[in-house]
Amino acid sequence: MLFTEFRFLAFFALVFTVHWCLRGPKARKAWLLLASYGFYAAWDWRFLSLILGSTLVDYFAGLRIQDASSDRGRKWALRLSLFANLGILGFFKYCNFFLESTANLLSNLGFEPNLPTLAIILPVGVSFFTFQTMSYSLDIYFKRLAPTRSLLDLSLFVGFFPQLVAGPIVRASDFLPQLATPRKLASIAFKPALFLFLSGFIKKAVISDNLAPLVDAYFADPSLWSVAAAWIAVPAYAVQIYCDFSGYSDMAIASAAMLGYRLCLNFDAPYLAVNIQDFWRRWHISLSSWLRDYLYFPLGGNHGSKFATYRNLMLTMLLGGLWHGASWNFVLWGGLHGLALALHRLWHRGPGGRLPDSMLRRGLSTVFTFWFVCVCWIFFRAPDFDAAWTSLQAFVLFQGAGEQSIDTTWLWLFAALIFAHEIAQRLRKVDLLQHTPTWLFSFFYGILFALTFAFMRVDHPPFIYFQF
Amino acid sequence: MRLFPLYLLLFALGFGLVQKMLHQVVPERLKVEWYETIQAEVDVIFLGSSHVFRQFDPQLFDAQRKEEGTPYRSVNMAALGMDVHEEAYMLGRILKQKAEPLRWVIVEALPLELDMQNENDFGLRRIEWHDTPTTWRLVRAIWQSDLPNAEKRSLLQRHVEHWWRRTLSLARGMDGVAAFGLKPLEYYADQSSLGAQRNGYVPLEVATADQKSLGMRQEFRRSPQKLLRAAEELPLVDDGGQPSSGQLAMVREMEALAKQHGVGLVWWIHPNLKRYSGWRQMKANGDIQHLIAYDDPERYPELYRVLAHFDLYHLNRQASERMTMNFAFDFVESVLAEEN
Repeated sequence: MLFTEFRFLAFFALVFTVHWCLRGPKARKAWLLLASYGFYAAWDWRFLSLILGSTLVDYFAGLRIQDASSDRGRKWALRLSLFANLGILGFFKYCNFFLESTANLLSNLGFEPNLPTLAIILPVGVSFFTFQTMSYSLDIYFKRLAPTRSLLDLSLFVGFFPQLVAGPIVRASDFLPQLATPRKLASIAFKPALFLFLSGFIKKAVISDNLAPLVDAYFADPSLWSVAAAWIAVPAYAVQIYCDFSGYSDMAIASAAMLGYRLCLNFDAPYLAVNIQDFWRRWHISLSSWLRDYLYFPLGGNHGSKFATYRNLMLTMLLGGLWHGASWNFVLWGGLHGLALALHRLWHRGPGGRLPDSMLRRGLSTVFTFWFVCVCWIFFRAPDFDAAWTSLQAFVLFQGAGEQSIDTTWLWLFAALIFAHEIAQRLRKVDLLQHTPTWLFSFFYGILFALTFAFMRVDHPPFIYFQF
Repeated sequence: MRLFPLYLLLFALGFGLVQKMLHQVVPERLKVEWYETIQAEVDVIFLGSSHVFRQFDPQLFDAQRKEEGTPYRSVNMAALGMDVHEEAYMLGRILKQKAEPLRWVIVEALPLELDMQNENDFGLRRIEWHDTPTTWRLVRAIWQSDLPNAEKRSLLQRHVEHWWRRTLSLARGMDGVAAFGLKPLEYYADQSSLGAQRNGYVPLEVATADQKSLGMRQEFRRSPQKLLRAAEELPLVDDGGQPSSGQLAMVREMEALAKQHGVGLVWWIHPNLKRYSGWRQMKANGDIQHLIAYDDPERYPELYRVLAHFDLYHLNRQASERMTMNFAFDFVESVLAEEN
């Protein structure tokens, strides 16, 4: 069930109505949990057992970490949580990848491996909910959080449907306190939430989905297209993936808000970043901060030697790349970002840090950062290294083999829409929206909703991040 | 909360205004728009799938009729992948604004499909024909079918979703922008074509075939024996007996609608490689008045020769032209003679 499908709108209307009609926080939470499990079961009910298993393991591990009398006991409980969650992730997401990579390595070394390939289905959202549950146990272990005694609360934290399948990756320290306080309908800012939902809907259904065929056609065989086409298709993919993922996040945040819960911001105009470090503060914020807090810092962060800092950066980004998908393309994508972060750190601590700040410098830096991010997206999107290399030659070295071109009329319109959206978001005119008369808001909301439907694609392509 | 119904009403008003505007702005499909400009000259319309779109040349058909002094002309309103539901929708659409000379609609006799194959291939057109009467007819046919309940539910959901999409003008905005001079994205472009002769007929030739057709041609050339084998087996396959209740209801409705507008329907069966059930039975029972069937390799061996085919399922240009001439002859000899 996709957020852009009619059945989701009907599902949400039902969940919303029953939720606010129920009296008592416990009944509401139980209803939300039931709805969330129903939402997930609409994909594949069998994988509900993974969510239930992960929740139960972390529930008991969290209590054990808190109650254990010895440090050894605490460590064992944490290991159990990590083993269970990384086990689920490793088996369902990376098992075949490691088997294939090992087989390739062995055959390159002259052996004749006969390793099996397993028919494993990747459960939707597995990367998101396992990271969420792991952060719960880790926070308790590091004494940043007290475990909840309510299994219902923890189950809802893991399974809450707006963010279940593609984030944002919510922290227990943010969400559990919200579950402990009764939600009030009167305290919800409906107009900003409805507007956020619609803007996410437009980003996904109008912009991303309409760009997809163009991008797909280019990456299916980059050798057919001209250099100019590469310079359109690669940034078009950057826009497509941004609108796809941030559109989902917007709709998730807005849906949660209408049910009385606050989810963290996941995107903050990332393509306006002035450098790569700034980009990672704005792109998929919930993942980058997760990696920072649970991987980079535990590895030592920037508190060790220079070498250790750069090693930690690279390791974090390589694993961040691998988190996205079981393929060397993603590892390379993460590695490129890690390298860029390391180079930026070197530059910033060296000559770059002494340069005077100016509008021109910031503008050029923003353009260069966007260009570099686009280069990295090539490895993210290309189906194989050959296609990536051909695209890279066209996009970086201006060497294009083919002659096919792309009609740019619509791209300008989409670019203008994105730009307007980003500027509006930067200006944060939420107060203005909140003070708009409701009758006027309702009327214009109807107009915008109808226009959105009019420019949607006939089918409903899934969100790109669902595959992660 | 007291004012919630008012806000809902205002939302619906805004939504409805855009819908209304879209219905005004969004153009009809190319062939319908074109037909409306020439309908005063047209007395025969061809409807059907690629079998009609690629194989019926109105110019040849008219040349044959000219000998009898008919002053009117025929047009090919078929489109790739048109199924029986779309034929019914198009018939209703054409008859809604019926012009005086229109006398005959030649409709390809197709099986009643309850499912939608290759859903995205003709996505916009599929949404278009899911108007309330067509969807309701389809819903009834699914309900009355012998399919398992789970399959019925899934089919009903898909068709009702399409009906919703039509009601909400899904994706029609891309067509609408054409009215403001902005070219729609390529994959929204109208798939119908008027052809070089501007009569709706586009012969199947290597130069005009799309990738899919070329692929089918390559496959056919690799194993042309398939055609001969299928033709040999065809006479052994019977007509399938009685039509299904859904098929019968649909055909009767189409016949009644045509009759109400003073138009006759002529059902035509393509030289298929399998027999579609029910059509001969409906003719025998008097549910349909006119049926011209070419799915008989013994009677029409020239339509089942390898050299006559572009691919396994379509005739090449020369064979299509011969078939059009044959059809014109049969039309005059049987249909018109019967009427007179």
